Amino acid sequence: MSIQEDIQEVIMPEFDTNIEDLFARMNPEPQTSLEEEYADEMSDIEFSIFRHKLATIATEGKEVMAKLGVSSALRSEDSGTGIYTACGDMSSAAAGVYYHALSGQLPVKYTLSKWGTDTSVRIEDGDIFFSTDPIYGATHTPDQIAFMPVIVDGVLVSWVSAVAHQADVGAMEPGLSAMSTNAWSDGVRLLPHKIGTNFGLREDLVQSIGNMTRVPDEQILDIKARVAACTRMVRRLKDLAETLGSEIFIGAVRRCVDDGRVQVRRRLMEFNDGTYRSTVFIDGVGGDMGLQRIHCAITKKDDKLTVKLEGTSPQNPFSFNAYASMPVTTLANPFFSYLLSDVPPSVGLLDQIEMEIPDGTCLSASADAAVSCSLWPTFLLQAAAHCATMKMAFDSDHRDKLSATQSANAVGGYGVGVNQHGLLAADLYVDPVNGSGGGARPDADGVDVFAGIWGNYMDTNDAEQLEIRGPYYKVYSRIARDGHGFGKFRGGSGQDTAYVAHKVPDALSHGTMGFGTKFPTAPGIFGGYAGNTTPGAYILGSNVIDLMRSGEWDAPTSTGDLVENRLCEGEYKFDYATYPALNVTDGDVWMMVGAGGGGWGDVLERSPQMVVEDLRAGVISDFTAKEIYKVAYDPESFMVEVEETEKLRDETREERKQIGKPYSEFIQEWEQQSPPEHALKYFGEFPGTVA
Amino acid sequence: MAEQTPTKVQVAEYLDINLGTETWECNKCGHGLGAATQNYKEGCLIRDRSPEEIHQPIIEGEYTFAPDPGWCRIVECYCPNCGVLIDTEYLPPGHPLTHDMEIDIEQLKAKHAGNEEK
Ligand SMILES: [Zn+2]
Repeated sequence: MSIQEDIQEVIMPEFDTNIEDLFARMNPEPQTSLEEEYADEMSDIEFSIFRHKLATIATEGKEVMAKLGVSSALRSEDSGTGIYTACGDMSSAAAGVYYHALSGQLPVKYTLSKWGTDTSVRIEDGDIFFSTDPIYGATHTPDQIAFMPVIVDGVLVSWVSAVAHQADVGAMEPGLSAMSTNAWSDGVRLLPHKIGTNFGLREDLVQSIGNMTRVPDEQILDIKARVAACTRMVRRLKDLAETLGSEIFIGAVRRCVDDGRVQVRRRLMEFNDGTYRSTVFIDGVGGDMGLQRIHCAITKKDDKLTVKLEGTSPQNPFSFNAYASMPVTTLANPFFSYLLSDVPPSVGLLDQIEMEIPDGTCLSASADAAVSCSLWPTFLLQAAAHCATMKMAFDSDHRDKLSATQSANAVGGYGVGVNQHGLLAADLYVDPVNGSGGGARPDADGVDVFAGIWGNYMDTNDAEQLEIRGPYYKVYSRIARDGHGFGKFRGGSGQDTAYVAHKVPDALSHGTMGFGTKFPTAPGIFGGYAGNTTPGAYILGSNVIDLMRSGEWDAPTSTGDLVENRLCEGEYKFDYATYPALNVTDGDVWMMVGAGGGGWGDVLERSPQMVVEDLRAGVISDFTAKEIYKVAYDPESFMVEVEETEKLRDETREERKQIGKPYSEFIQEWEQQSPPEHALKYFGEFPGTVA
Repeated sequence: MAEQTPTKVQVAEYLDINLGTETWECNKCGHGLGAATQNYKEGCLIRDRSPEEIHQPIIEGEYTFAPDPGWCRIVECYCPNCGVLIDTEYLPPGHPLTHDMEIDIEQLKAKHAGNEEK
């Protein structure tokens, strides 16, 4: 079969940006006749080995990208690689970030639909495609995607993709552009298009893309890293397809999708039918503060999930919005990283999910909306879906896969400017974000400095590499005190860190990206408390470098310690977690407060011994040990006073019963209250109705 | 035995569903918390707390490192008998409580049919 014939068989309807169409494209396409014919050519064991090979090839691609790339986001594996059927359905992935691989279906399908039969473009062996358009698969403009067809003897057998976050994309602001007010201020926005042929890049096109950003060299090198990942995967897959025969390969790649669906169904059948709801709140929109609600109601019936988002706040005039293709991919993380962590990831999952999103919400924004920070409301949806699915799965044999929500709101940052070597450089300081705290587990605390909420395999930056690349160095890197949700088992704490600008040739444009300053975003579960809130914080004109030189620097135990005890001189500033980019120069310090995961269960059930161990390690404060956990201990020896602790805890349970009100009495008083008007500017109707 | 012991199913850290009476029960003390078709929170004692009681402010001003008590409250649900903290919600003041678990009782019964152990 020729390429064109094969493509005609998988040809898809014209792409549109309406919700229904994007949803339809996210679900697996119907089997082609070839896929159907060769679906069962392999024995179960052969297929199992085949699927493992795909996973290994995807992982190799991801490693190639991480080793060759420049941006720290890319090197710290805020990235994903995917392997797809000839029709563009995800069969395997290495993540990194599962939703990068899942949303990678859209540019592939767009390309098939739009360019497959267009004689001015065509799809040929060795072609290299690239896209940065969030409508078609880039989760936001920085998540740029390279993808390539795998063609063997003229037959299109598969596709591969490599996605990674780019530090600067020429948006209104450097780095992430929180203040953007429309799609045209989000930075480079390229439709899926061809940037190379015959395994070689078109240098004129690549240079042109670089030219649209503040840091062309990095953009160009990182495109090459993505493409290197793709070409490596293409080479491996071609070898495999040639060995097996193209038809058998096509059938097996498709079987990954269909087998994935079978495994997902089997798992869903094990959970209790019912409706599980969660509501979370984000406290900003990008250019302003204000509450937005993200609500999700997950109804599970047999092997199907219906996810309703009615009650989610409207689209806002800044960049904390996402297009409608995002919410469904968001579910990949709670599933593939938790409830389905033992099942090979494939798009088969999405076939079991029906998504109902009203038009015009911040998770179904119009095509002209700014989506620079699309991940923020999406993380919140992930937190809500995480809570709801964990409650669904509690009464099952999979309790070992449960946890409270991991943190979503660490303050990350970026710097763009000329570095100490005289080179233009842009970097994300992803360490606090990629080092967020994990959620508490049913039988253990959450992991400290765990991962970003969107990808459990991501790493924090290498501090030395960052310091080589940018005119700044790390002042401290700690586990934030009280920086997690308390509970019978506590959430993990995040990495709490600060940088000081040093040897800045002129000025460095520094900004942050974060939320959860006034409202926490990692809910606890089953009585556990939420993770901590994280403000933006910086010190202009500090004397940290002088103190270091003279040996008088008393390194803080946390950002809280630094600001509470004013451990250096300078002008201390506090702001929302996302503050407008500012020009920093030598001596300026910016702190990025680590954020922790939610707690699990009643604090009064926490082992007093674990409480004093946390206290001794500086992970919690005296206040928390005494006033939250109600533990009596000897402050010198840290020995628990067992009887006194029991007494305090009994008294606290009695006190709860005295203060707590019967439901109807409580609701009568509660309903009279509301947040201040300015907090509801972007909320939509308060309280309104939810699904 | 003349009567079959009703089976209890633990569906959350501190919540059982009694399949015989179709009611919520506290997993710690067995106290009834109302019909399983309703929100268990209706059978709890509820308390509105300032988030600063749990998350200590570090500095004064608009950005204290703690949640803003004007924007965010902690709503705690306790068992009226043993005082265990069954659920916490972080809500804007006046925002309705979440009906977080609405389990299909018929399916639950069918799933546990024949399971006599308590
Ligand atoms: Zn009780």
